[in-house]
Amino acid sequence: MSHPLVEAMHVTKEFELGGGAFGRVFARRRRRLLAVDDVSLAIHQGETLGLVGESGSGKSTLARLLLRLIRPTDGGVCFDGQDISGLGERALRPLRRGMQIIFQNPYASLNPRQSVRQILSLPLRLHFKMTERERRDRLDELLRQVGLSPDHAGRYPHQLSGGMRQRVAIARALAVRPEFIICDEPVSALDVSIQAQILALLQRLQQEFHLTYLFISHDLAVVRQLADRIAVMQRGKVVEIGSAEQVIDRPQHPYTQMLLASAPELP
Amino acid sequence: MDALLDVQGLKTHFGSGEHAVRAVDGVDLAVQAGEAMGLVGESGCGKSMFARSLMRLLPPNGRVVAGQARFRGEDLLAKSEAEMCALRGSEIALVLQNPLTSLNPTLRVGVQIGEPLVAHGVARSHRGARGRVLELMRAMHLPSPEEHYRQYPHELSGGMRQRAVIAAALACRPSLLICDEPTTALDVAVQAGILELLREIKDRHGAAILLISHDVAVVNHLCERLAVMYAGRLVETGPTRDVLAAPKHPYTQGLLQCVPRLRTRREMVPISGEVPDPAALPTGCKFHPRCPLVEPRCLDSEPPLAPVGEGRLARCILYEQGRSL
Repeated sequence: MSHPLVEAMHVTKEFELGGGAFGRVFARRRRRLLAVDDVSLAIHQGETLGLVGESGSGKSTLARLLLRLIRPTDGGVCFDGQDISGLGERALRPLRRGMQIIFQNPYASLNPRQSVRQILSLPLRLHFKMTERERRDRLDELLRQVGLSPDHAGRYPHQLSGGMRQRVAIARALAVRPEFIICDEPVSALDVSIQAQILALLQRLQQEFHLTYLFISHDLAVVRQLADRIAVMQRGKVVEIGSAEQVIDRPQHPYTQMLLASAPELP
Repeated sequence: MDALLDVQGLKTHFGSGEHAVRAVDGVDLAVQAGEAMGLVGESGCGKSMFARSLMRLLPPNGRVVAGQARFRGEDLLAKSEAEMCALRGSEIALVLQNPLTSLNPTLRVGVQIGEPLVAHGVARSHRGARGRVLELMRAMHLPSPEEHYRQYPHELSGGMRQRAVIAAALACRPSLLICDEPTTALDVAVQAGILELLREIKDRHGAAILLISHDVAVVNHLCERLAVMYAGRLVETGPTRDVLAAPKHPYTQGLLQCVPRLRTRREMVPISGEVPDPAALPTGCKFHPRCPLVEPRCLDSEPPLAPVGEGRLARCILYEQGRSL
């Protein structure tokens, strides 16, 4: 088996609640929330690991830990064999090119005051030395790769449909030629016909660029379509992990069994 | 038997003239007493505006421009505001997606559940309504009614809030419950609980349910019949089991192929393109720009809903008279 591209080793993240004015004055009132509790998992080159769980189970916090957008309270995170849990921003920057994230709501993750051209140019400027001409060509190529046309470059996010906005967010992630992309509920806000378009696009891009995905969703059926393996999170812990067939067809943990029993199905 | 609710040719437009947004553009739909009817469609297809038209709760710039909605034989669209007030919450009740916006954050939960009882004169005061409210809360399987009665909405979980909203909706024993995406904001286990509750309401209390949802699987769970809406009109109706087993309209076929299945992993077959802008609908069949079976005739005129089997209708030239099924 190929070596893990991303690895979490006993990673833990604790948040302090009630950090507002009252929390500071009445220190005793502070409550702690163990958002991610001693999670270990590995994601291998070229695979898709699905991550499912209900809201508040710690899925998104784990995603942010793997990208080192936040620092773990305890435990380690490795990317491509390198421990990144203690690295500072400067040391992380070259690594950031290898890892990207796509969020649920592209309307919130795209700057409304920037055109698609500006949105896609920024990562190119930050990470590559390119001539103006090269950048324009790359931009057209990116738009084509996600099923948009060069005409879309001049548009602003509010002039695009939800599906198109998500395509722009995907193009932005692809711009830096990453190896690893976290998809955090990328289709949850989309209509089912558009959802299928975006899932098909993600599948195609994975094959074309040998991408590694962590695919997060509360929807087991959606995860099933893309994931090679599935991890189930409950209250900060990974309670079950295995091949997609195994987890869906022969769930071992009572929580996974409950999730599967709750999902309404079509004949 | 006459239907409990019989909608004919309902049209709801926003604005006027050439640029009018035709949100609902000629919908015929009947709901029988005690049945659960599902209305399925993607966002912007007009399903919520259809519900709001029936309740006469349209936003100020929207108006019903044509059609009838007979409820127990009387046209809801012809009623005065006072007559509608007497019906809303007593005979017809509405449950919306987000219980936190349906509930008043400054009032205790029990008082809000009792509100329709007091408003419609079933109880003289909130104190008088208390017993019935507690009984309703128990029927909704709220774990500790006495305690929840005194609580405010923010003290309840999302699922409990939706149960409280449904309790209020059922307080006056309505014969029709309209639920607009009642489980969309909820986790899957909580959703299963609410769907179970709706089934109980239908089976035990005999209320008819019009369930509006983007999720075919949710509708399948509860409804005997379903209607598929696209661009302001129905494109297919029929018994849920039959429609899902063998959809007739190309849109329904495409939609069902887009729904990810839990038990199988298969190639995604998306419908190409996007839902049309209701202010600039295509000519002829509204689905033709996305339809894999499009013919030149589809651009000319819109086909009517035509019978395609036992209790089934579909709006497609494939099924117009003279063609074989």
